[in-house]
Amino acid sequence: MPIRLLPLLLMLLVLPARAEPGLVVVVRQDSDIVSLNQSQVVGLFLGGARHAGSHEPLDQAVDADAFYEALTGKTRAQIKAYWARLLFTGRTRPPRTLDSREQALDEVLRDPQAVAYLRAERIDRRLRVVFELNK
Amino acid sequence: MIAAWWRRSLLLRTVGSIVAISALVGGLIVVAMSQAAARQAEAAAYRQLAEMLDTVESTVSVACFVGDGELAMEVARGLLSSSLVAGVDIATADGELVRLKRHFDEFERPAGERVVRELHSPFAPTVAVGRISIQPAAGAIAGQVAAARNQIVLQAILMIVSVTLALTLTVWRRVIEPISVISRRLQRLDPGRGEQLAPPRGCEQDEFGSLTGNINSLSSRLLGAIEREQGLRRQHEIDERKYRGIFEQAESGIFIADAHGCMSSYNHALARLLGLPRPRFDRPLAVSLTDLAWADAAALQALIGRCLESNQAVAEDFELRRSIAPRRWLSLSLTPLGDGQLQGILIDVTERRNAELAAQRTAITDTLTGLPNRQGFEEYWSRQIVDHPEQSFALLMIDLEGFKQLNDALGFPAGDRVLIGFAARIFACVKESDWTARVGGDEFAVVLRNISNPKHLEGICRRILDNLGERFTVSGQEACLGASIGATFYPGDGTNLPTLLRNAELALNDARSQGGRRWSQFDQGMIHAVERRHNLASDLRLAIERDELRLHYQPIVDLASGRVVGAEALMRWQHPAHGLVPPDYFISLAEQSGLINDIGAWCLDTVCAQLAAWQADGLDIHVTVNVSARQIPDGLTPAHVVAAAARHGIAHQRIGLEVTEGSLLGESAATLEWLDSLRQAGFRVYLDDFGTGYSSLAYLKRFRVDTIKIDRAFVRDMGRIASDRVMIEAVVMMASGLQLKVVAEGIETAEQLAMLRAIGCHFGQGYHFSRPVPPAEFPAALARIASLGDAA
Repeated sequence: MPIRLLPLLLMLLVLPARAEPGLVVVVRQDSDIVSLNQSQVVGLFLGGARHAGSHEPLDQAVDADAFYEALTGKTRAQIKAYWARLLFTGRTRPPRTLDSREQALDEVLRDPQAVAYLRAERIDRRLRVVFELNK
Repeated sequence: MIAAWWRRSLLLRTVGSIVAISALVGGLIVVAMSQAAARQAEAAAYRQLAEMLDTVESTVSVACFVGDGELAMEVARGLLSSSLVAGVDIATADGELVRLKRHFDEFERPAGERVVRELHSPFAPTVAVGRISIQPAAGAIAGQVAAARNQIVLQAILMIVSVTLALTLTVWRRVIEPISVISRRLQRLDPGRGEQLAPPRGCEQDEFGSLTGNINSLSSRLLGAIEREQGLRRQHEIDERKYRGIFEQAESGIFIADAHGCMSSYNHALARLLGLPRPRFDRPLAVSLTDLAWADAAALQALIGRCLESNQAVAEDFELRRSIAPRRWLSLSLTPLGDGQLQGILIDVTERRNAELAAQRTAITDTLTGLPNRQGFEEYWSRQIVDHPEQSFALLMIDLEGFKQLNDALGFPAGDRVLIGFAARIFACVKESDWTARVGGDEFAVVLRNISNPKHLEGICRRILDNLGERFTVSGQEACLGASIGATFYPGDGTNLPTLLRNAELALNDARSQGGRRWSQFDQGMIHAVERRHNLASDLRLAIERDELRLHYQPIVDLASGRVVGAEALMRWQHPAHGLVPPDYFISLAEQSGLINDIGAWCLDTVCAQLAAWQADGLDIHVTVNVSARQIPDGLTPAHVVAAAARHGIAHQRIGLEVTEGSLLGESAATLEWLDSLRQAGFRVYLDDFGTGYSSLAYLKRFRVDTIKIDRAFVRDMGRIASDRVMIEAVVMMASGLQLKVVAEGIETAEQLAMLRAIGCHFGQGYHFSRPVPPAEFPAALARIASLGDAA
């Protein structure tokens, strides 16, 4: 396991130089979520209702690949396969997917329970960053 | 039955061994393999369970991660579809998610360890999200194990059975079959006809091939050995027949005996020699050699012992005393055969033995008298002294006096008869237990047993001397011989035979020197006398050089005229230590030592010188010189006498040579020649001591002499004994007839002189006229004799 982890860590170290400006997990300024760690972010976006509770994670089509890649190290296809297994029983559903960053921004601004990921340059005072990826 | 079959069947034993070993080894292998198989089967079941968990792990972890009971149930149902799974529990950290169990029947009770797998978050491998545990279905696993085990056992048994079968077939085909083929062929094989054993087909090159080859070569070697053996046996039989023939027909007795002399076989000759029953070869013999009537069976046993001990051939003669048959001497040769057995050869050597005994007896017996000779005497008595040193005896040495003369006069046959007679006389004087031997020509030895006292000896010696001194008749003539005896004692005088013989000889010499016809007993003084005599002989040798010898002259008177016509030269020895030594003594000494020739020569020379001196003084007489028997004929040769006379210018007729009768008896031809030479040269020869020896008128005829000197013994007794006077008369008459002169010796009285004158004796000498005087006194003696004549 540590041997497999090492290239991942290395990749994390080199990514910021090449990647676009970092993704951040945001909520509306008045949300009850103050801060999240990585494990909480994973549970929120991938663990279904059991982890999300009343909060609603939102996927957006533009940055989904980069987000999941940065968060779990897994590709979008792997994430889709994961959800496919859960969809079989129908008891747990993946986050609702928005078509653009603007829609994601709008949804967060609209719903205090919503949690989304955005590019860091799009952040303004209405939003609160609870988790920064690619740190 | 089965055991016997087991022992007899190599196949059965081999197969049995293979089966037993296979069963044992195979059983162990099967047990080990089935254990391994069971473990493998169990491990495989658990591995299968683990793989099943691997398959569902990600799904279950997702289900646990999101808490999706439906999904977990789906997975659990899927797992339960495997017969290995008896139940599935899935739990999250919050609690049990799914618990599912199979409905068990009788044989599938839950057992065994649960297979548990911790579940982790699909996104964070370090975060545990739950656990899944499977309850294995023990019955199903046991079934798999049993199946695996059964398969292994079946395989192993099949393999063992097939290997056993294959081995059995191979052994049968490759080993048993060839062996039984070889065995059958061997049974029918007849090597005597040169048959060879063929190897079984297909086995020509392998071990069976070489086995049959070895059997063939063995059989040919055995055949060879048998043939050699048969050849040897034939040869042995031939030898046996040959040697049996030799054994049977041998003249010598042959036998085989053991250490005790017990004979296991013997031949006919031996039976004949020993008087045994005829030998039979079909029956063992039980005759012991030592049981026979041997004179010395112990010596025979000893010989057997010696033979076996030394392991060498030995031989010895034995005397056999059979009751009726004469005694036989048998020579027994023994050869050790080994193993305590002896081979013996017995030869009758009686004749050889008798011949040897006869020869032996002859060697020690005097053939004439039948008495033991000197060798026999010495052998016997040397042994006697050694064997019985405690005994005592007296040894007599008897010497016949005058026998030699008698022998010469009458011839050997007469002498032999005399000896036989004397032997008988001696024999008659001694006891039967005493011993008589003839130890020399006229010498006898007598051993008187158990006599140690000289007093006892006196009687016997006198008896012998008297007996031997008796007159006897031989060849028609009456004769008389005296004897002397020397005696010595054992052990008083000596403890060995040579000493005793010497002692007896010394005593005998003593008796002889005392005139004979007497006996002397040895004493140590005799040895001293001999020594003195020996010393004297040495001195005598020097006496001539030292001028110790003297000549005295006794006048010889013409009885008719009373005038001195001659003188007899008589020798004297003035010994520086012993004084005057009597002539009888030193003359015999000179004779024995050979000095007599030198002394005789000196004497003749001195006489010639004296004659020359007297001649110069005008004294015209002749002188006679005594000549010893030893000097005739070579000690004083006629040439020597002539030379001596010539040297001093003496006429030959003035020298007279006096010889004794004894001198003339010796080598007659040479003596005769000596006499004739001297007489032809003109010397006078006088026959001295006439009448004392064995006087024979025949001598006077043969040996021509000029003058006879009648011995003083006749003259001495002529006044008392008529026969002596008659004898003198006869001699004088006879001498006159033969133209011989007669000198009477030893005239001591005027009566004797008157008688002799009356008889007509021509000359005389004696103390009546004068004793022998030195030359210086001779003129005085002549004067006195002249005065005698005047007185008469």
